Amino acid sequence: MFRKILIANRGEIALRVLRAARELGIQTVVVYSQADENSLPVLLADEAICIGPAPAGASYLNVRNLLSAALVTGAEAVHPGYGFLAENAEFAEKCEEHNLVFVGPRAENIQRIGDKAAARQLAEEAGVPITPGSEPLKDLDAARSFAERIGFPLILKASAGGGGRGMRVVHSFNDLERQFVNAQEEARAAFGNPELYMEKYLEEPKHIEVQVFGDGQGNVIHFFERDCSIQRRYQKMLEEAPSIVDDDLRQRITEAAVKLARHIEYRGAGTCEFLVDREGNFYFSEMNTRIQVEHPATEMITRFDLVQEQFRVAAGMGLSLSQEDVRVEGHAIEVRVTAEDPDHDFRPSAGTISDVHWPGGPGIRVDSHVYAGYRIPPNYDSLIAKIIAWAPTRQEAIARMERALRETVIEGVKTTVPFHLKVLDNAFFRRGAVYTNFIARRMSP
Amino acid sequence: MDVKDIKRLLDALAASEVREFSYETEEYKLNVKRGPEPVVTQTVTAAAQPAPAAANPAPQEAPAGAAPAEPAASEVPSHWVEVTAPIVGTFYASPAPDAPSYVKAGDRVEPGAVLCIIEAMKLMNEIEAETSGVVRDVLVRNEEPVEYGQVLFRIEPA
Repeated sequence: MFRKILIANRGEIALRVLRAARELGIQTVVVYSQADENSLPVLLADEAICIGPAPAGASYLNVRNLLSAALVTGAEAVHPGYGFLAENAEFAEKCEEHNLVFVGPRAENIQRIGDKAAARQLAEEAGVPITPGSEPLKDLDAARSFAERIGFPLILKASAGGGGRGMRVVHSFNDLERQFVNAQEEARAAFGNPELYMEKYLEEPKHIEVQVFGDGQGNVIHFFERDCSIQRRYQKMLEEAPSIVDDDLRQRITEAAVKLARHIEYRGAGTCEFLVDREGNFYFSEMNTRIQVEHPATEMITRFDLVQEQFRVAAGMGLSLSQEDVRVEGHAIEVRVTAEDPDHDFRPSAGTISDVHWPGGPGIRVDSHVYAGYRIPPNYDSLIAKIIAWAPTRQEAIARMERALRETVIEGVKTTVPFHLKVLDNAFFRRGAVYTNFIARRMSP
Repeated sequence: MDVKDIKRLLDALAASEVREFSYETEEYKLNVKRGPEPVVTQTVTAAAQPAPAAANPAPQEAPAGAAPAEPAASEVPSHWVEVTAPIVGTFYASPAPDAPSYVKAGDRVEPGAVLCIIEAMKLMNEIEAETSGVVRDVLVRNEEPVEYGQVLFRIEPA
């Protein structure tokens, strides 16, 4: 196992990784920007190194300073968390060039599966269903002829894309030209690459994703699935594990994810995302080659530490368990508490947290880097806590989460806690009638 | 070229105004670079100012394990200029292990004068003075890791 690792991230995930490392007896180096000098992971780390000013481009994305920090502190491995450089193949490569283990997949895996078009092709090769989709579209005419063949509704996506940018739903030929140009410009601005492709658009799908783990030698296991259908503008807000699907679908979808990961000899933690329609058909949409924000939901139902497993696999120790050892018990719900004002279109609410009280009691887990007196810097995303509730059944988990959110006190900034309470109280949510349009359709004022 | 030749060359250079010299053949490449001319320490202001420079041992002379003495913040006059590390890396006070430091407390520097090297990813980055003045504090020991924004030197503008 590693003696010392560097955590190339901030906020709650830096703390999560630090906790996992510390329990394994690994020393931690945390890097930080000048805006994060007083953050909890920095205060708790064995060593902390400032790598730049507040803007992420000059600090958390500053590869030279990050690697330099790892080298001067004698770290053996770099954990990228999620976001920032977690899915940057070049960074993974640079780490290896400097004899630092990148805690994640091989650069080549990140590269191939990170390209949406290439990922679809790999899925097809592996026999994993994908939505009917086009090749990269040369021009508007190519988009028109695809639409004639497949029929509306369709969705335009950026080849280099993610996070909803460069995505446009198109309902008719009248719509197509305008949306095509808009999506192209958005993709160019966001990713520096205007290339688009098109897919059949599913109405009211569920977003279900499978947690997989590979050893890089072709051995892959799964940790079942999560339902992440509750999204606002393609940003997940609440996740559940397991999803509410029948056992037959669960088996088919987890098998499909394992097949894909095995096909590319995937190493480390990854997530295969699928859209599931009302008839129980599922289609691969993308693979995330990192630990995800919502991984604690899976940890709660499998009682297994995924981040520690990342370290073991990265250290070349292989997978510590086999598929038969992975069992699901009960139900977990995670809510993402962000510093946003749900009463004013979720506008960011940065500022100082004057007081905070986290919930406790049976079945509750809180992952947060926030404390009383902590100032939320305006430079980064607004996630301040993940609250996870576990209970034997979904119904009990909902009751437990409601109870926990009512105990939660966060003063000084607006948060999404009141919004989450409304979701938990919604009749459609309670009976599991949840699709990716849930917030737009069921929660709009 | 043998050791004697090199010595002769260095002597000749020392007597001249040349500050940088390169010589390349098929077999070797020789680079000679002289540090900034040390200026007689200005002690004139010492009476008017607290004397933090004197309290600071030169970094390469500091005993291993002991951090250079840093004067309390209140002792640092507000007009002194801090030179901070623009990158993360390893601090080198001199161009080579046995060469003298680029600067030490009391040295006079002009804009562009090299103050130290920060090695990052095997690249040597020369850190230059931006103000003219007198180096008052050298706050990092040779070969110590430095982080972004860490104060390396304090210069009294003059």
